[in-house]
Amino acid sequence: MKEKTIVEDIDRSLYDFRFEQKDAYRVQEGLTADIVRQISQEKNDPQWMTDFRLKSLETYNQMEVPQWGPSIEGLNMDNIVTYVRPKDNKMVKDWDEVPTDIKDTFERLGIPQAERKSLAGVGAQFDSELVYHNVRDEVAAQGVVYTDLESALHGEYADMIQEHFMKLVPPTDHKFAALHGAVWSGGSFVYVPLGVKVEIPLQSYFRLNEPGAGQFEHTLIIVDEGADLHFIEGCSAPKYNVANLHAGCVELFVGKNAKLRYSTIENWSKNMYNLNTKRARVEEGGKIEWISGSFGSHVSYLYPMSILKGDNSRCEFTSVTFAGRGQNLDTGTKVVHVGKDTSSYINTRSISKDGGISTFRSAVVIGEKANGSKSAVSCESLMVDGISRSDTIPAMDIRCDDCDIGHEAKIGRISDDTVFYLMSRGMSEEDARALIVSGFADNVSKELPLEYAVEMNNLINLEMKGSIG
Amino acid sequence: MDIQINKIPSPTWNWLQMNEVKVENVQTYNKQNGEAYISKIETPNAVNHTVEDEFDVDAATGMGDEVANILGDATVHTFAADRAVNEPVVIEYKFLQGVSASRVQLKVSSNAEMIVVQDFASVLLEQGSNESDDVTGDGQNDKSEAAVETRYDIAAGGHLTLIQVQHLKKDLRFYNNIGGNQEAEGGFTLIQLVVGGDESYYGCFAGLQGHKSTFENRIAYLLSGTDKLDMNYDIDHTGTKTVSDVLVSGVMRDAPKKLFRGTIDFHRGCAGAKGSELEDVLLMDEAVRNQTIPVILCDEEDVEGSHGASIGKLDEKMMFYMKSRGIPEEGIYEMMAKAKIDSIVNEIPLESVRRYIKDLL
Repeated sequence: MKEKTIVEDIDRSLYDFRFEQKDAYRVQEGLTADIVRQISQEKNDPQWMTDFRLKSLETYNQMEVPQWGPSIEGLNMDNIVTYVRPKDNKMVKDWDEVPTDIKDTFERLGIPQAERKSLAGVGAQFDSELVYHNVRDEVAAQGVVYTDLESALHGEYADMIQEHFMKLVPPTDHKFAALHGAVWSGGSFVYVPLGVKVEIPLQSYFRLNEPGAGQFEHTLIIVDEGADLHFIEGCSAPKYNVANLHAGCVELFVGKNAKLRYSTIENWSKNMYNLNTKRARVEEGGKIEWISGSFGSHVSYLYPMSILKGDNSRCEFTSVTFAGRGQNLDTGTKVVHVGKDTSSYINTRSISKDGGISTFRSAVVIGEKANGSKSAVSCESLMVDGISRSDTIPAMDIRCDDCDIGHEAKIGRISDDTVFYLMSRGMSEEDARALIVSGFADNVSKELPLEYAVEMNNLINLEMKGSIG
Repeated sequence: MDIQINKIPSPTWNWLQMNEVKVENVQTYNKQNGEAYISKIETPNAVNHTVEDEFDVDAATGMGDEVANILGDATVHTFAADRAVNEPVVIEYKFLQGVSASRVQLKVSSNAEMIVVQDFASVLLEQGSNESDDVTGDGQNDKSEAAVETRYDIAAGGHLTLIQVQHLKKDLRFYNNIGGNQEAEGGFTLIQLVVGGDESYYGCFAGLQGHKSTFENRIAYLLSGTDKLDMNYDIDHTGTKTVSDVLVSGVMRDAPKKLFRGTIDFHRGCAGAKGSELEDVLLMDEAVRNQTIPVILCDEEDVEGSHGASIGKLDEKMMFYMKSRGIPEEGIYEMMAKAKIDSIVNEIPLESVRRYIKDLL
């Protein structure tokens, strides 16, 4: 007779702490033109941005909620606070100047330690505002710009921002892109000049502290011709009983022969609706690499999209999604091959346990002129127990003949034989299963910098280690 | 009237336009027009053939309910076997101009076996005849339409082999809809060959309800010109240790459009179930449009599911080799197309049926 295993939920004490902000500035709950104007005024937006926000709000009001994904009925925009600014907020470059409570939060998350050890620059966002932004002198000396987006809107890069802002993800793309266009705040702007290779990664960390709030940061990265960048994004929040919303937007412009690796370890709390939009456009010979680990959120809609515009441009998408109790994580990717001889490689793993639902959803489109293009998709799903669910919904749309498309997907459970083998070598069943799941997710962990890979493996071990009976 | 058919059980992004298909301006069949398009029904002595007004097999279908708007009040032909029958039932259709519709029920009793061949052909319509064809009287031209819905019921230990061959001429919109359920150890083998047509819609729902029931599906299609083929296959695993195996193989040349939706749905409780789905598409011309969405839905831990797709043109080395042996490009296409069809036809268990189909093609 098979022995059933019960795996307890994650111990989230690492992320599940908060402090009460009594004096923070908040806009009213809900979404009206007045609130949008108020945010715009707070941000000191140029006129074009105010107009853009109001137009986006109109678009938002006209669009329907998507009907094809997980339910977001628990999300009521009338209850969401779209802008929260910490008291006496100002963005600083010196860590010691960050307000104590906020500093403590990031200290506990290990952000400044990581900066000292392994990062070229760090941005830290707390609720709707960036509280800290710093880039190493030697990286700045190369001409690399890493700053908050609002400052960039008013500085020497203002025209560049206007030229690129929400051009890849227009507000008409979907309802939550329109919402983002209306109420966005915070986020980073990165510009890597021609031929510059940033040897160590930059990181932005987003922390949502306020209950019932939304975070709508915008990340805009432009990697110029021949340049090279690794950007890491991390996010977390404490758990509340009310719904929180994350509707960020990431726009990545990868120049000719440039390379950008965009890594994300997402660990939002399990009351979060994560409706994030990420998109990259890659020019001739350029390459985008997405590394994505999704562990948190109550509901996720997350499908980084790559538009392979230039000939010989490439995309690699590597992800792991871990859905536990109360989670419905709908993740995947979209790749549109436009240029000739473009290639994409998609390698994903999904793990469902303890009643969690994970869905892998993808679209590979080979355009009419994308002759010589190649695409390979591999997705594997692991069911850890009998009360969870895992779906795989990949779509392929091929519009020319000169292409080579391969797709494979597998779904299954942890092999009893493998568990037995590991136990016969002296491991407990719990450790054996955790080891198997860690190995299953190694497509992502082996692509991350060591410190992050260790963190991800710890997350998996935390997820897997519970009571087994 | 417009209808929406072939809805995928788990929809995805609307912009892909793959969730379902909308067919505009369809016409409803009326029984009073007779069944002149059924040119022959051959029934072995051991198979009981009866005629009814309505289906009594209650089953979901791949195309969904809205296709009933075309089927109208078409006669239901029921074929029932209560023992192993080696001779096939053969139903030959020769669709005419206008609207044709047929409803078929296949009932296989416990431990019985039945083989059914459905031959879908059409008579050549008069040149340009449907250019001025306005049956619905709405001022728009209406294509001729033919719809066949086949429902099946396989009792414990029974086995049904259904072989469908489509070699239709142009100017016809064709709907081929299948659905049924299988009890314990009931087996269903579905072989479908599409070698000619214009605008074709295929749907199939296989309800694997009984323990160890099996569904084996082989599909080969050759599309050319501006052919359109839209498919929706839903394999529903509810019984324990059920097995499904779907292999779709196609060749596309000129500017055809094809959309294959294939869903393996593992419901909670189908412990020990296995499902696999494989699609292999050879693209021969730059104007082809090939869409595929192979889905696995899994609500049960103890299952094995897989799907794979291989889509592209013929390997350049292979092409070069064949050309170096003096085979022209057209000949290579013919050869590949024949190989795809033959590989499926060769899986048909009865020599007489294999010969029948080869003669037909």
